[in-house]
Amino acid sequence: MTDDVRSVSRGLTAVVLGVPGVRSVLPPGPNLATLVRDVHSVLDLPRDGGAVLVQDRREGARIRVVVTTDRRVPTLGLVRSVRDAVVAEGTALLGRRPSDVTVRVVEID
Amino acid sequence: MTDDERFGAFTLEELSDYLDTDRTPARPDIDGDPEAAAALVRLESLRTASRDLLDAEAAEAAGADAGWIASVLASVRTTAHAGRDIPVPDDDPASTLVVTEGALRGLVRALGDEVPGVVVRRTRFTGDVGTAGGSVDVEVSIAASADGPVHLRAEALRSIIEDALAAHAPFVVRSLVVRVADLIEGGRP
Repeated sequence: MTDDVRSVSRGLTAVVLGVPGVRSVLPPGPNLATLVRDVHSVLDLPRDGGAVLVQDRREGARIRVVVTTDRRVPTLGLVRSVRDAVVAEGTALLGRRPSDVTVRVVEID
Repeated sequence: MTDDERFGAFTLEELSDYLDTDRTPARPDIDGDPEAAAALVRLESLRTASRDLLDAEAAEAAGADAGWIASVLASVRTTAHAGRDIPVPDDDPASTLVVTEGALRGLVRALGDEVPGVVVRRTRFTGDVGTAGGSVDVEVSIAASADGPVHLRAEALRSIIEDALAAHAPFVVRSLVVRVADLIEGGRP
């Protein structure tokens, strides 16, 4: 367990931005139903730390990554490269392999 | 709260699909449902999200952090258009890799912008969308200008969509149909 998931998030965000074809990393926001109810719920997004969501749990870290990508790079290979980079850096930063990693591509531009 | 929640008698997916068709043909069952109609208005607002949407509250809350504001707006924009999650085939049980339906729709729309005289109106994915590597039928409705051979424009678009989906879509394209739904004459559909 780490005391500073914000620092881990910043590290993972930097690593994801370094994967060829990743244009941006977005913070995972509220789901659509929540946004439709109240768009201001998006203002709860954290303003410090990185854009990668890190939840350090006893059974292992849960990591969520949302990216926009460059369409000149094939998405299927890219999304696996992001996962591989997150697992490698997450393992280094947290001391053990994350137990749950989600990578979502939301825009191919 | 989940995206499966109903607004009146309809799910967000149904309402989102209705907006994708520009509410054509009209759905009196949706339009006449007060809760669904209100959700449609809010969903439309989300789709045109801008700094105005978050008004002064957002600007004040963020202070001078333009990067955070950009992230917030991108999060709203991509969530409003996300559609379904389409799983990417992968062997790692500890990972979930996903491309959203909205990402692929946006890609098809951008490809349409590259073909002169074509505007992509709507893209639908039907079939085994929820299974990694499933078979999916793709239907793209376009408006095409009438100042040239329409079928050649449709075929040109079909060809580049086919190539793009091979590189970016996590499913097998079972069929790909480009349907000319409108003619653009004098710059107006």
